[in-house]
Amino acid sequence: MASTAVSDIPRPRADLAAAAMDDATLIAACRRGDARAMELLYHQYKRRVFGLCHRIVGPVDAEEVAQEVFVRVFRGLAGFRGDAQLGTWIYRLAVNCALTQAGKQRRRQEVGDDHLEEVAAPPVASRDPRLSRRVEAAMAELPAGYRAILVLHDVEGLSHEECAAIMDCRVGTSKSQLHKARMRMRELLGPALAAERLPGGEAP
Amino acid sequence: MNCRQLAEQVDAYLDGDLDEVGASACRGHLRTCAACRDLADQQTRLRAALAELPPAEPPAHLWAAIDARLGAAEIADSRRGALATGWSRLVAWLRPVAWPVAMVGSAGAIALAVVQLRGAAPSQPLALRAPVVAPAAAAPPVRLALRDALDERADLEREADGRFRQVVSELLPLARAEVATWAPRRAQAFAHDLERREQAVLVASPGHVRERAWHDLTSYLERVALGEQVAMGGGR
Repeated sequence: MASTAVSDIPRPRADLAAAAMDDATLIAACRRGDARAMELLYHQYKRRVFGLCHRIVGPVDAEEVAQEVFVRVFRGLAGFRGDAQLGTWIYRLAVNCALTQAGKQRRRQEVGDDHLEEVAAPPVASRDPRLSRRVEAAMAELPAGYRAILVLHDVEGLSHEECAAIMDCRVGTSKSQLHKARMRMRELLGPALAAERLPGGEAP
Repeated sequence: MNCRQLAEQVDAYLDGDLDEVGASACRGHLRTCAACRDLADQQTRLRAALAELPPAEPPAHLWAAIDARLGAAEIADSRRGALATGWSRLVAWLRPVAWPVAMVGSAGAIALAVVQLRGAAPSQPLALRAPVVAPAAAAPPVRLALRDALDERADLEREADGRFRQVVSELLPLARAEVATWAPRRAQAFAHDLERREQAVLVASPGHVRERAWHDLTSYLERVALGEQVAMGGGR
């Protein structure tokens, strides 16, 4: 059977005001298989989920992992009990899938596959393209666990409370892991970070 | 404050987590120590660089790919049909039936053999001593009956093992799918618990000891697969 036809099948259609749907309504509609609700949920979380995957596993595997995350989200919504925020639960799935993939990458690398070189490939340039590239490359050098906390807190801007909920650890652990990750990044980036002083040159 | 203390606190300071006194001590040290100023500058710069990393834009076809995978999974569900949805019924059916049947069946066969034995040597007070003194012609059928009973029992045990194995093979993918949503530490604990229970089945002698081990394994997998006791998405 052609799986491309699945989006055309008749599905329940709730009366959804797309913009103003709370998590509970969205979850209930997705559980019923409402196509619009599912797509809405996807669009609500796609950037951050894809971002997490991209930063943790690199550009080559990011799409595959992001697909896996959303498949697990929709297949797992029936078991979602609402004892965490929907977002926290989704990001936790994303981090877990990405860390699992990162583990596989490491094993591939250990058996001599050079696939990982692509992981460190630079993404689109930002304000300071050279530094961005170096930062990306340094992140690829970090242990995956450090990379995850660094991405959640410093790239995605989540709070330590949110990071702890996603990583299933204490807030103190989240802070200490982040501290170690940043210190490691500073070691890796040393000269690149020192090369250019901030305007004014003084800490806040 | 010295340089080592500043290095430890620089994160908390830059994150604004320090109280006024602590923050003031950091600022005081930074004003007088160029090396630590460099360190703080670098950390500030690192944060800015991380925050400014260009967003990774999901490809436009991502949703279509996810939708296709969801569709494929639903098709697989519908094909798996009764097998996938019926495992809980299978477990429910298996529990009260399999081992009691094995036990009752083999016990019945043994009882039958004993009755035959008594019949063969009615004058003997201890039935089990009968084969020793029983007429030579009567002995082979009795021994055969005992052997049949034991064979039958072994068959039933094998059959029950097979059924439990089938249940485990049904439950395991469901449990693993659930575990994939857990934090790494909890997932590791699952792997450990699973191995321990599998080992218990392997080392258990046939009969109710192994039955208990099987039940322990299947009910554990069932709980995990259903997300029971291990609250999904919120547990610490």
